[in-house]
Amino acid sequence: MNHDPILDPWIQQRREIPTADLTSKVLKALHEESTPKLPLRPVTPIPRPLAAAGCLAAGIGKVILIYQAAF
Amino acid sequence: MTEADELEVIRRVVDGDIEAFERLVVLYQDSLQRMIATLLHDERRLAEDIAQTVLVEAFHRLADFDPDRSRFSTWLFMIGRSRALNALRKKRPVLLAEIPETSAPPNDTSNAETYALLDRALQQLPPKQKRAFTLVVLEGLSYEDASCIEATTPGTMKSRVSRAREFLRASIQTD
Repeated sequence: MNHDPILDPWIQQRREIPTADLTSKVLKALHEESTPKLPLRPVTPIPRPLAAAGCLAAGIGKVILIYQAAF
Repeated sequence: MTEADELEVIRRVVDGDIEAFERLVVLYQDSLQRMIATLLHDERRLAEDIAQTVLVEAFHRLADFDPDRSRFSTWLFMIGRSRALNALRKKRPVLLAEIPETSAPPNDTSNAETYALLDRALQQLPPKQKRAFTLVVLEGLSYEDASCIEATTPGTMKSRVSRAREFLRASIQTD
């Protein structure tokens, strides 16, 4: 291409316009998308024997309360 | 990076190596941002956001890239052009007075004025000429690659670039 004394310096300036470094943003976005999202509140199932013991304790507690109220 | 190196990096990314994609980002982010910014009337902040979206999209679509059909840069610029034009359609028309003067300020005032005139004239070019000038002259793509992006012939691209140059030269002489 022929040398253009009018346009060439301006073209050079346009090529030197600073740009942002997107590397970390792009990689962060890619990692976030590839990582499975965790639920906000982890749900841990209560072991069955513990749950049963809890129910039993609550039941006994109720019986005691009724007994106390009656007598 | 040679074209063979680039294809090797692409193969690694397709195989699940996210970190390898960083090399492609580093290589093309500047020209991609500049190209998008020029198409968007030099709105650099918006261009930055779109370029980021384009790079993420390119990562996800990388398995679709066919090296027998185009270079990676051409394919990436095609996505960038498409997203920039979508954004442009959604925007309200830009008034001439709102177009920022983007070139770095040169030392002497007469050059500064000339560069400002040229910045504005670039934005006044007919869209096809502006894209041809941006791809070929500002970003240094070959006429073949640029014509692939614009879905036209290299001859048409040459003609558009030539008319754009004439328009830009005339814009300084008449003002």
